[in-house]
Amino acid sequence: MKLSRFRSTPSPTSPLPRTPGWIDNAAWLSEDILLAIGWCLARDTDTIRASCNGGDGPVSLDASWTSYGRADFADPGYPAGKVMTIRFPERFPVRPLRGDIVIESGPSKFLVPAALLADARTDPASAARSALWWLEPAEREGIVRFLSDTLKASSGADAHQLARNLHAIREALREPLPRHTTAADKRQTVNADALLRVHEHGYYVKGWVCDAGAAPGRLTAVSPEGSRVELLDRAFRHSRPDVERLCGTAEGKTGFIAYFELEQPSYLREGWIFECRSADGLPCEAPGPPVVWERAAVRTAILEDLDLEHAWRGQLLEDHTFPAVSRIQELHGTEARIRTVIEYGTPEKQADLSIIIPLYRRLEFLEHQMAQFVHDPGIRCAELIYVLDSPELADDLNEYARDLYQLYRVPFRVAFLEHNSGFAMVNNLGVSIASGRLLLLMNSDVLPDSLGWTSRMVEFYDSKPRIGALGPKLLFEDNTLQHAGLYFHRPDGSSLWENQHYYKGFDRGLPAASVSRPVPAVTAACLMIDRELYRQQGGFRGIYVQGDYEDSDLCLRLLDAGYENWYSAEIELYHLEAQSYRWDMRRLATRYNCWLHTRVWGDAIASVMARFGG
Amino acid sequence: LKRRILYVCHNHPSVAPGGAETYALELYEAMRASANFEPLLLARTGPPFSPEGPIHQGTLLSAVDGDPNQYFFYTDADEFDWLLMTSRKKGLYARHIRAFLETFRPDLVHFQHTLFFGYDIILQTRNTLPHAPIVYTLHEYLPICHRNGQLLRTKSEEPCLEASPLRCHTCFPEISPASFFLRQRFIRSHLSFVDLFLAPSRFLLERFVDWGIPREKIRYEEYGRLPVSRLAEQRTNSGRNRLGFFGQLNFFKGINVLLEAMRRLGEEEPHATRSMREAADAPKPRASDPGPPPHLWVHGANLELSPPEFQDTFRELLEATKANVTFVGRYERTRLPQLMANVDWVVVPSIWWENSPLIIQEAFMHGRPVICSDLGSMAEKVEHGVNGLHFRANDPGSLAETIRYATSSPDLWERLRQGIPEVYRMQDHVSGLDRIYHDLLGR
Repeated sequence: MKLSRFRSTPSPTSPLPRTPGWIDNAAWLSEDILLAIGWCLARDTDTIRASCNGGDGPVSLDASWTSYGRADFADPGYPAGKVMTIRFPERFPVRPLRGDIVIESGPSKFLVPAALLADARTDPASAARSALWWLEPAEREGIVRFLSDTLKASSGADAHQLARNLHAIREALREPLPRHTTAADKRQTVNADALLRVHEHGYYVKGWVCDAGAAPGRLTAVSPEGSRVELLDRAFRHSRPDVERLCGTAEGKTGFIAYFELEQPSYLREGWIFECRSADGLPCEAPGPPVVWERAAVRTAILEDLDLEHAWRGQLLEDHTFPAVSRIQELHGTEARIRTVIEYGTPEKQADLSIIIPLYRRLEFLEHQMAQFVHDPGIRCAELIYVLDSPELADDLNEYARDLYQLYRVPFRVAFLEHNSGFAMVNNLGVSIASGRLLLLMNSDVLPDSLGWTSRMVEFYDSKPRIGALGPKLLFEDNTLQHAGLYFHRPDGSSLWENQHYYKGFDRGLPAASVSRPVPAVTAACLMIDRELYRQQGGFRGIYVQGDYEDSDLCLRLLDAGYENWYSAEIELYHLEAQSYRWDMRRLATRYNCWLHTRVWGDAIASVMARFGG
Repeated sequence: LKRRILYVCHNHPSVAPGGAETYALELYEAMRASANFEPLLLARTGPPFSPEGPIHQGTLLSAVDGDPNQYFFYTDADEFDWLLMTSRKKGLYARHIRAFLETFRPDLVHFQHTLFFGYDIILQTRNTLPHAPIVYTLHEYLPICHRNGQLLRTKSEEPCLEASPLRCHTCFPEISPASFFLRQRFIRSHLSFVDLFLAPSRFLLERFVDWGIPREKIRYEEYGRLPVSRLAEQRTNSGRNRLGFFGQLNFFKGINVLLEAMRRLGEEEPHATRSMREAADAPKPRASDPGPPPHLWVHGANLELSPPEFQDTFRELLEATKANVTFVGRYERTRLPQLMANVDWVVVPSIWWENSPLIIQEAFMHGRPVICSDLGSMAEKVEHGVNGLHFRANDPGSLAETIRYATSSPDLWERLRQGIPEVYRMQDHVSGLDRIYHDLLGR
């Protein structure tokens, strides 16, 4: 092969390379990743060996490249052009680099001289533009994609710097498409309405696409860092009458929703692009909206879409909602931790019973419970633990709790959580600091009807040998039944099992509800369980959204393990069912939870209900 | 050695007038003469009665002129939760109330009113003074009814006898039944730290028993009244056609019912157009004579605090009854003998149950029979046909008829005047309380 020219000659002081190769341009992509652009004779199939002497002898470096044909070579088709990334190990002294980088691959062995790096251009986007601007758009796109791979092994602040540089490179190299195109009097355009980050790799997008031709051929999400994902095959399509009016198309399902995972993580809030190519090849693109990161908002926005799925029941849930939401719940769970535990008074620590009460938003329930607990010596014998799941209210609660202890003198502890963690995690964290033999998991809007109820409940629990969970009779404020045990019900024509309360709304004295008995499940609003058993079972599972179905999930596990769940009619408390969540969101969360609960337990429920005569 | 009684009240009459606070101060004054007890008075001050902000920095206390045993205690109205009747600023009050109680260590605490303090002050007292009996005078129905204790349904304006979460929610749709349930449980919890409740009327007592206060913890004890400095003169030998209204010019006090009754009477009576002087100077009626037409004097103020529609109706009615109604306006309690001297009958037309209206006692002290609604404690305090007349509450026709009957029946007035009972004297009240305090302290 004959090369048309050599840009420069290797310095005589360097160990001479076997065969030529040369670096034209280099820039730091991040603290430890170098971007180098040049040429050499190696092919993509040749392995690359890179090393550098950091002072203690040569250290091998992680290098990779992508090739392209260079017009200044005699054979412009030969992939001699190289865009190379070189990653240095952690704590390798890169600034300044003490020795040259030696690169070997196939027939080539050449240097990236330390001297070149000393004045390496600090702006990688300019480096990329000046060296690569003349390539075909598809080649440039390939290079951007190649570079985005560097994100795979990066994390922390470094990853953010890298992401910003990759974004700048993408902008320098990419070929913008029109915002919309018109063909055959039809407008083709695409729009992303919302882009939600589930995690660094996982994103959820909702938008619409209006096709000029029959159907779009491709719909591609391009991350700010240049990763690309095809959405069309996986997206859930739905009708958007507003869009159809706007675009004048009669076809339905212009809307799309997709949860997708990127090969490379993406870190930037802005810079997404959505490209659309119709079947006949007309391209257009739309900038993505800023990414929503806040987890609760992301979850809310995802659940909001459940309303779209009456006709395609299950597909949106199974392919998009579930993978996204379950991932959110999982992350939520792993991040849940107690920041601090504060004692108000000196709570009983050798107690037989630990009462765990989550507080969410409405702190005043603490006062309402204190105003009742103050009369009951039984409460002072128990270990009382509140767990605050609204971290933003920590200061308020601390002051409030101090004052309330001053007044009511019922000792208790409060576990303040690092983040909002959800009902399951809040209870599990509360249990993690509990020391009683038995646990009573209780809601803050549950108030006793009479004194001495805790010891009666403990007695009841201890009197049943195979008991798993125990739930008392719970009343609404008008003395009708809120809870007399849980059962499962599948409405006609539905595939989903719903949790139902026995005799809800009937008078508290209803004879049928006045019998203590085993039931399929009991509510977590007031649930007693052996602490060791709770621990063995792994506590509540955090897969459900916003406090729902955790109780039946636990109770089904207990049944599965051979325990009985009991309803006690003798112990009566009030449960006000005060909602701290937005009602509409609660409805959608319930829909999701119900679907998930059936997905997990459907078959088991059918046999349980056959046993209980449902 | 005298034992110390602390009275706690939500206001002080030197700041703003009011029945309960006036009574509380009078009781405090009267108790100073007791051989056994030494009273202290803690009166709450602050908006809306007095300017915002405590008088001194670093303390909520300030002096009531010239008396080392009376204190003002400042609380912020903004911090007061009107649903639970408690203060949102728990710590502030806990600290300051506690310090006050620890300084004086009263042997017994008698709450007159806990508005603007919050019911938690009772538990704070129990905590600080575990052995001091706690007495609570129920002046009105605030613990039962969120509508300022009026016991009147918000939409129908019907008197209400039963508070329940659902009924209260229908009166206040924006407040959930659960919130009313919590309210009831919260207030009951705090009131359960009281050792003895006093009720100034039997009607009020029954309402609280119905609501959940154990009967053995509540006792009827009427307000004691100081002797009046001078009795209103009685007009002799003339028609008993002069009526007086004394009270707040608001919907609940039924002033518009009374004016409407006067309007109807004015239309019916051809000579009702005679001037006031003519009416007053008319000769004594013969048995067959319908007598001089009734004339009403309206004493009262605070019309501007009522809703505009009520004010409009009031003004229209006043315009329509120019001939037989004289609007006097605001009055000082010290001027009551003179004002009473000008009337023969006192009309109490309230459309709600009332607690124990002081004006009935005032009328009786001055020897004036009372025409009142046949409701609640009014009907309890005034015996129909013995010392006054009842009419169907909120019914101007019934009231007009009753007024016509009262003013045109010769000798009726005299007979009813003879039936007026002696008003419970403050000195008897003080000895009654003396016994109550002794019993409680003796336990």
